[in-house]
Amino acid sequence: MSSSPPTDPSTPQIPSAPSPQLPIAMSTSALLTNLSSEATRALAAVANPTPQKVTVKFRALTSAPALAKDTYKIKTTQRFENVVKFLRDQLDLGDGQGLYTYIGWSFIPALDESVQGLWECFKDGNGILVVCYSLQSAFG
Amino acid sequence: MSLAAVRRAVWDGSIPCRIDLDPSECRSLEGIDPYFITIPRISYLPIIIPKVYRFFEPHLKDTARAQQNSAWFEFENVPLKWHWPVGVLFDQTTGRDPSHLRHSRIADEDDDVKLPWSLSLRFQNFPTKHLMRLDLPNACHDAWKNTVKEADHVRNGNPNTFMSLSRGDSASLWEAICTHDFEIFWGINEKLLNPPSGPIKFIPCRIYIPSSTRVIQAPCPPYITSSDRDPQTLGLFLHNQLPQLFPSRRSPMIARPVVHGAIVPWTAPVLELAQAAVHADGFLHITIAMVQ
Repeated sequence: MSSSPPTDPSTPQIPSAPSPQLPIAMSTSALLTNLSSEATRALAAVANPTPQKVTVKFRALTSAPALAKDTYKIKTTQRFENVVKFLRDQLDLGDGQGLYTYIGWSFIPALDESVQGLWECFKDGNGILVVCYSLQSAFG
Repeated sequence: MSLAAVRRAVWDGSIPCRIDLDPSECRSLEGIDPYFITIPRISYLPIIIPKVYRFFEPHLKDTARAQQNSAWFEFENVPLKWHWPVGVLFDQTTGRDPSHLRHSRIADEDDDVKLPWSLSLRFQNFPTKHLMRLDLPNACHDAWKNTVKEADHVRNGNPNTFMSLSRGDSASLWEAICTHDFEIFWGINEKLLNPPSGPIKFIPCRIYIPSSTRVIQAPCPPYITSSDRDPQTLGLFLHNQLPQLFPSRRSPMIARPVVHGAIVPWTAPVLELAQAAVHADGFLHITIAMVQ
């Protein structure tokens, strides 16, 4: 796992929201009761990793309004959904207004993808995850 | 077994399902027959919604509200993410350890999970906290397409291979998933997996943590040295990503990797595994069975 570069302490942070925990299916929970204590501990540790803070930068595409402040810190354990929510708030978009958020100038991540995974795979050379956005679909 | 044979076996993998209409959605108290369907592991739940909907439509309490795009499925009270492949949902929610099956003469004898996989179809209270909105008919296609682009980007460092597919090829790829056409799908998918631009940089992988919503997506280099001599093995990759669950580099101790419902050899090169067992969205999806 690559470590996160130090973020500028003056960079504001996107507020964290708790990730909704799906209930566990009975079939799975029944299996978990028989585990060794070592396995139970290991599972708890990987299910709840210690978050790092990474930097995201918002970039307006086409005619989308730019943000006055475009760079933020965010915890890696956050879901991409919270990035989108935060951006919608900053842009003051109404419920019905479309917003397309792209990573890598190409794809729209699912809302439940973790910031960690996107950052690991798509950060730029400076360790920044660039999120492009547009009010219309920008890439086919 | 040849690469083509493994791809075919993966493509043919399927889950027998029993779908019941949730009692809260039924217009009468009388029992309604369940709907039985075998769903390919590489497929997606929204693809079967039209069929299932037609079957249950006469029994729906409120057809004005219970529309296809408010349909959702549940297994043991767990809402199922419609944008994940069916096989991943099954392996992740049942937590089944397929190694038990090896010693059993009858396939079902020792299985922890009773088949068919029993799902409930629901409409009310769409669990927006857990599931993305399902704007049919395009939501599933769009989610899949974005995942394919994401995989392509991981593979090559840019999404150009997918973007350079003809519009026809890109449409046929999805159509082939919906109609379950192996030849058409692989005719096109081969172009994505082995791009003309040269060897791939990273293998798109997702690792699902048991009984958790955590999914790990990390770039998996095909070789552990720059000389392209020592292939990255599944065991080494998992050990590096999740040292707590895979404390040994040599063998699985407390957890085992599962791909398409099968235990995968610890020493399998990830690149070879991905060539054979990639899902229809371009990712190698790895679930984990805890050793009992």
